[in-house]
Amino acid sequence: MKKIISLTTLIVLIFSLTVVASAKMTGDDVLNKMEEVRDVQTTQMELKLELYDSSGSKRVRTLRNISKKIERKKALSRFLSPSDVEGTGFLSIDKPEIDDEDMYLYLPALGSVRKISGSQKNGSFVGTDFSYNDLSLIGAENYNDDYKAIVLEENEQEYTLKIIPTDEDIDYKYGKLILSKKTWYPTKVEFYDSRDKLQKILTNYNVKQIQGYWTPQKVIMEDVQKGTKTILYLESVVYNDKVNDRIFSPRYLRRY
Amino acid sequence: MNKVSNFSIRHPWIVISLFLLITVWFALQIPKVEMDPSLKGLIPEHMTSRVNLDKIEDVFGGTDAIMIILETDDILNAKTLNRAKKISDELETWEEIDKVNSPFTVQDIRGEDYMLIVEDAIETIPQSDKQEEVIKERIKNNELIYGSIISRDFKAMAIIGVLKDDVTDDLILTKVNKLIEDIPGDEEVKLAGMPIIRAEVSKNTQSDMKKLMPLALLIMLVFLYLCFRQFRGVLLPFMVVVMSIIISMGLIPMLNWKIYLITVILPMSLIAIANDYGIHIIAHYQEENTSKVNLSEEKLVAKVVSSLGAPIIAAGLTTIAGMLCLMTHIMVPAKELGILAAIGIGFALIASITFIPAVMVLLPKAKPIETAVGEGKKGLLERLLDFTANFVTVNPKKITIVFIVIVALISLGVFYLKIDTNPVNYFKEDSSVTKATNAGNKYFGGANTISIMAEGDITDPKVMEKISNFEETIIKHKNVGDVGAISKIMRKMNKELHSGDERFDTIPDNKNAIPQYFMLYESSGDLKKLVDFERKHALITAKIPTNSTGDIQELVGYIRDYIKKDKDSPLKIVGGFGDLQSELSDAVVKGQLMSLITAAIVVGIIVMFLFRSPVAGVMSIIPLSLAIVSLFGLMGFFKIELNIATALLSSVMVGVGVDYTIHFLWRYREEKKVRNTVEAIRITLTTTGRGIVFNALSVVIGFVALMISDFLPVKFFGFLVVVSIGACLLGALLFLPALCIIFKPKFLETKPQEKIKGVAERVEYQN
Repeated sequence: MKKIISLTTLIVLIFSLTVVASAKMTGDDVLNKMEEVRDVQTTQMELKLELYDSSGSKRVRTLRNISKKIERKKALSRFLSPSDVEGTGFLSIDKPEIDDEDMYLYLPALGSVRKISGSQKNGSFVGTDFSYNDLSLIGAENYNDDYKAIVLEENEQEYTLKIIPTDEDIDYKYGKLILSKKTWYPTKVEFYDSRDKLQKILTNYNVKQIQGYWTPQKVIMEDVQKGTKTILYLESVVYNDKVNDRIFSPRYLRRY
Repeated sequence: MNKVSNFSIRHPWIVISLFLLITVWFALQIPKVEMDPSLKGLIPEHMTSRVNLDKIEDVFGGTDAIMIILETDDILNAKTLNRAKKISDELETWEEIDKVNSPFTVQDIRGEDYMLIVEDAIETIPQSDKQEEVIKERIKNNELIYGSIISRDFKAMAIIGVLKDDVTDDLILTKVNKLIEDIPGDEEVKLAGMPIIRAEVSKNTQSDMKKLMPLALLIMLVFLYLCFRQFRGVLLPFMVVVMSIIISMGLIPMLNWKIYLITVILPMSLIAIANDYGIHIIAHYQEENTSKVNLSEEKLVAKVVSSLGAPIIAAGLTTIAGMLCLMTHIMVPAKELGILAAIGIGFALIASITFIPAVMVLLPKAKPIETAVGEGKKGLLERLLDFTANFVTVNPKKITIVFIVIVALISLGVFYLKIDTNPVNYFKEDSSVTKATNAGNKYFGGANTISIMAEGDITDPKVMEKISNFEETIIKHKNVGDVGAISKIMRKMNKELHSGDERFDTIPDNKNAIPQYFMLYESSGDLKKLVDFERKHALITAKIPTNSTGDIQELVGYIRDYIKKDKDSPLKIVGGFGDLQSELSDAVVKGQLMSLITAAIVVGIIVMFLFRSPVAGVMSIIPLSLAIVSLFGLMGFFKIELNIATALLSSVMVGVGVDYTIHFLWRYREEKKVRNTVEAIRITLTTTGRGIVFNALSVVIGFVALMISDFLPVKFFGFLVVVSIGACLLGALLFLPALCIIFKPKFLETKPQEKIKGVAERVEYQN
């Protein structure tokens, strides 16, 4: 009898625990779900970048970005304007087995491709307020690669997560991410530096469904310490169209 | 005038309380005083170098930087690098710092076999000798670091912090010192850079002044007591000095002005000048007290004030006029200083003829003191004055000739006189500031800088080529140790993108190359202090391994000539600290000459009106000019540079010298009415001469105390005051009497009938 009672209690206990677990997602669960809801295979988009300095002066560039996420992540960025940098291209091919990536550069003025080595993760992407690593967050599906998370707050509409870099090459100490439960897309991320001071704020505006994927039409990254900001406008996007794997090669990079 | 002093004699309490109230009220203003230690603050906004620096700062922000220098036998050893990295990392987090340049923040870009490697110059701290060798080789190939933040002999490293605007020097010095303490190590640490130097200057000046000024005042008080042997003789002139200092300092915040480095001269000038009038009143009081024992205190005081009123007011007015002539100076703080000193002196003057009499009538009548006028035992000073009087009256021509010969000899020193506005030279050779600056000069191409701003389309290869040519030309100039410029980075990128091929160490001629290089470079480093966001301006910064203003001036001239040769040169503005300093030198000399000449003329005119004779004006200027010439001559011989402060002080001191002349001439003319020349000289020297000597020696002896200071500006202040007052004293007591005897100027001679009238007055006076 005693045994039965204790067994029942155990079952009840286990069951109730499972219920709690499914209702309460951990921070990492949330990051994983963000990726799961976007099983995008390929993305082709055109972006307009507006760079503002602290006095409000502006520089505009447009680029095309093609990325593929089959087997390993590959991305090709090509500048379309202004004319003096037109054709400049970056190619990155992820190497998850050694937790690194290959990066290639093509400068039309040089006429040839160079492999770039050295950690670029914290470096600014062509002078914008996005670091190379920030840039990979734009699709909202890569947070779980470099960050772990803790749920700070949860309500009907959104999660507030504290995200902590797992990649030691990332200079942020932590970030605060606000995620909409409706879209599973972040609305705002604040990044804090090694001294716990707010460094950058990323805000996604006008998140719309395109081909079933929630996609912001405008992203602002603001460096509050430097007083600079970069606005990224999504000019066009096509998801899951066929992309030839050949274009992710240094040889193709040179052909422009 | 008599009405005013009579009022003070009749209502002493009203006058005394009024003075005390005013003083307390002004004293309450003093805590509101703000300090502006910047060099820029000294220079008027319309001056070219200031305009240029403002233009550069508009585009590129502040260019002030601190340099932390680490020195050890092998700078690349792991322990040193760990320490340096901690310092550099910490510095980067400071709100006051705009940008840090160190081997841990500056990127190394190198091309090897179609690979472009971009990483921090010291990416990882070497753990073995082999690794260290590899890093050493890399650094040798990195022009952006080798010789500019790591010394060529690998014995020193610089961590440079560019400051944001509006960071106070004191704060940054305190923070940096604490940082070095918190991250200890065996390496020798030196701090260089203008903010550090400025902070040290103001710290040293203030601490030495605090230590030595009270000592100077104490010595002065003791001396005054020895002279007058009565407390009123000590305390009354001293109170006037203190009150006038309080008034003029309290005025600073009321006028919305600030304290500058040179404002230190203000209290010092007042100590030297403001007791003048009180001392003469006390001296004359004692003199009259001996001869007219039976007069009541009120009458005695009234008589002293009325007989001395005119020369005291004249002496005061000439000094005030001399001070106001500083308003012709180019530097704003000098103008303000002139006005403040003039007001302080004006106040002292009024206090001397109202406040001092008011206090005196309240005091019991003093015991008569034996002076030269009275009979009996004579003091050392009295005997010395007697001797001087004899000597002058017997050998007037000899004295004049010897005086002129000596002054002529001393004046040769003027040829050795150097103008220097670099504050580094305020410090002794073995001071930390000088050592740090010299280390900066030796290891990193120089601690001083000149900036050149280019305007135009910086991405245009033609423009970039010109910047590059300029950069490669000036680096060869002997007064340039290192140059920072965008063209250097462009050449480096071009080379490394061509796998390190030396043939590509050039500016690419493809017109799209530069924008593309810019875009690429921005991915790792920032171009903040080199090219502006719009790519319309570039900043070229030349480091100068010398502290000599002359050398810097020469370089600025060379650069201007270079730019002038090419009509289409994109290089438009030469500015920066070096330029500021070089124009400041000119301003110091011009400002000095202008205010000295104006002061001499104005003083001459006042004296001319006072004695109603042009000759009197000339006679008052002669001893003054001799004093100025000897002062500059001695500065030359003693290698004291003419800088902002020393130049001003010499000007201020001239105001004192003329007082002695006026006091002498006034009394002499009075005595001349009843006596012959020789007798008149003798009486003047032993009576008024006594006041002059008290006055001058009290200042001289007090300021000798400053000469023991270790800090050169303070030491020089002491020297300058001693020399200029000493020269004016000798001029008034030796040279001037000799001139009077030789030339017998008419304005000092009274007509026969006046002489009789004078005798009658004098007789009446005696009764």
